[in-house]
Amino acid sequence: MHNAESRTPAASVSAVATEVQTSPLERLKTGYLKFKENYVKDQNLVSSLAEGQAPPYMIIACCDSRVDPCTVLNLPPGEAFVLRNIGNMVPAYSAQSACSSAASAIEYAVLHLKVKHLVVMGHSRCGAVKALMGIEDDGSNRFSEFIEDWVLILKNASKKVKSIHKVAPFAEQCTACEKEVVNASLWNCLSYPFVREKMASGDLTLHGGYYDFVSNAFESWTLDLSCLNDVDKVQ
Amino acid sequence: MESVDNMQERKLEELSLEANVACPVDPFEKMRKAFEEFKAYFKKEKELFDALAQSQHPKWMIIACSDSRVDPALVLGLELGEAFILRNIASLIPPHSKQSGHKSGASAIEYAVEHLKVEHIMIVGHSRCGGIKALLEMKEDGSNRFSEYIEDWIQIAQPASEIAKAKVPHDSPFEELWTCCVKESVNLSLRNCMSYPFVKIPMEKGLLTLHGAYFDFVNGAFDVWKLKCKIDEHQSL
Repeated sequence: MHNAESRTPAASVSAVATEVQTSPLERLKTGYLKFKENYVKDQNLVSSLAEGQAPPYMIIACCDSRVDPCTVLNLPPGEAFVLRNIGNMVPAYSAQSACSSAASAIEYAVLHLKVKHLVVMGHSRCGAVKALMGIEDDGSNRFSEFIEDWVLILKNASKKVKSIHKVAPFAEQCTACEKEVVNASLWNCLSYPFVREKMASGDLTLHGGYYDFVSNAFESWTLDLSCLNDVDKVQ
Repeated sequence: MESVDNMQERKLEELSLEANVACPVDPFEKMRKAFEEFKAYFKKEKELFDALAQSQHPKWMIIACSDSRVDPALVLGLELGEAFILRNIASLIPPHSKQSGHKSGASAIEYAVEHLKVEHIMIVGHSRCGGIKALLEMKEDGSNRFSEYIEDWIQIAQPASEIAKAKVPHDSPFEELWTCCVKESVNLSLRNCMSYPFVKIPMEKGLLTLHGAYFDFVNGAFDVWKLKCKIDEHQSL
């Protein structure tokens, strides 16, 4: 677990330099042994987690190596059930969808783990959002087998940003889209009946988060329950 | 009557603003305090974070379970910037397919390998995995189905369940079958990874290594193994 006081700049820079020289598996071994050393100090935690998990949070975050939510928000083992994909995107509820990693994870977290808070966490300089914003309407600049198909699940977010921020520079549009994608994902979470039910009964709160590692800031916002009425009408 | 699109757009607009907190006690207070600590660390490590703000160059892609007890960055002591991490129930990767539904795993692997040029992919299974337990308890006729999405997702690992049931003696304790199935599921997902041409090609060139891992938080162990593709020496018939 990260402990801010135990780190000095020199130690971290040399840690990075060592990583370059030692074998990749040696690097993981060092990390694991350090974790184990700290972890076993709390035997109550160890035995309770061996039996089961009861995390209060579910966090949906991007795969980006710079935004590990447990690191940034100092969440120890057992605190957060975490789904990560590129762009921290949640597809809308669909009765026909096969094989949905997001839907299955949300269902498990909400109905079985009974998490109290569901957080969608976006971030600065997101490559997936940049890819989404860069897609031409006619698909003429397609560059991948799967990436475009994945990010296009939230094409409405990029459409909205392009219409509101027509004249803004591309980088600014991307920043706006990073936050819009969080809101669109939250909106899609609401399209799952089991999410709506738990929100209505007061057992679940939905939050948006935005981690900006350029300016070292974290914004968060919470969904107002009154938006539930609109979702029911839409269905 | 307002159209669905307009209603959704209006709602998205409202959601874009900082919304009011619905409950009186701020549930994020703990997280905010934690972020303040992290901010202090961020300030100290200016050189590292200035570099990361520009771009990421992780050597690792790690695929791990969403389980709250197995965050790979925590467990492996990884610094920010070191690993691109995909997490879903039971760290599953479906095989390459043109018709798959959502493409969360495939797109992440494609991005990691083709764009970030990671050198290693590690799939981590773990002890007491709820997803694998659900898989082992599923009846063939689907008569004990309990979810809308979970079984459909976890079915990806069905071949691993068959292998484990064949390997482990019938009278063994459930824990043994469970452990075996988790490891076979990791191996299955590794083989499924290889079914993607953008994985297979760098592997064959020696630019990408695939690893399996099993994190046992009951007994305090972390095992790793490599997936090796070897073409044997030719033999004359």
